[in-house]
Amino acid sequence: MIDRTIFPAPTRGLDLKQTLGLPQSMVVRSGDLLFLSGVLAVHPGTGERMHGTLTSETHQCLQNLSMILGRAGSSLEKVVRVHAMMYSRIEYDVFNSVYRQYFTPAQAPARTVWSVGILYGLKVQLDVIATV
Amino acid sequence: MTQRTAFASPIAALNAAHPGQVPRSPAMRAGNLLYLSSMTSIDPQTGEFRPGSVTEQTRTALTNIAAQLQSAGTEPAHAAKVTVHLASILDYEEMNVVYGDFFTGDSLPARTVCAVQMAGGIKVSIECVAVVPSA
Repeated sequence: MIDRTIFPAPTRGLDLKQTLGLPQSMVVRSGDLLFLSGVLAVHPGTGERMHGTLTSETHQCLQNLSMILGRAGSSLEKVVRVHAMMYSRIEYDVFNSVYRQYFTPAQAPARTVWSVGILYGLKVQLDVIATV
Repeated sequence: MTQRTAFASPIAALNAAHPGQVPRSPAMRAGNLLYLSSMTSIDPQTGEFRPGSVTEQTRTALTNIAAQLQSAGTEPAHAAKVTVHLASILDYEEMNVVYGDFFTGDSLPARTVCAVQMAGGIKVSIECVAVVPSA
């Protein structure tokens, strides 16, 4: 028996397999853990890439993340670990100023921040594990 | 209590007993989840890095991952999460063609792709978490 299920994206725009042709499931669950594909700043309705400032992209990512988790029976409060990827470490403080609006310090998930190259020239990507 | 079990690599040179090997387990199981160390284009016969195009490196890495998963009691179809590190984000499309041939169907693993600095001519490095079926 295999304890593994796929959760669909909550909206058409967040289904990156459909909109961008990425060969991946948005959410895979095993046991109490949800493994998410990298969350990007795309429009949840249309899938349009929402290139913007690090601030606007981070807001969009976290709002998308919240919707994706909700569809899978989870929420931001149940996030276990975030790999926060951004295009430049220089914007670390900017990222935090947005991030702290979504996670209260005492309950914030484990987090690592990386400066990396991200698909489509986007500035932020969130790689998340959450509980159900 | 959750069991934690290390698995050897089917590639002999990647195992701890081999001289020069770094302190890591090729795969570690905790509960029903199997975590793989990142895999690159390693020649399964010699254990040497096999240089090549993004296509070749991706194919070799994924083939090695399949062998590792199988030797630890699971298979690529049970992968839950794959993280692909590229030396350049511009190599995404080339990697993706090979990736899309390897993982097929409606039950694809979640995936994250990003570009980071890598040493020694490595163009692709792939990490995987997979579910192990229970009896």
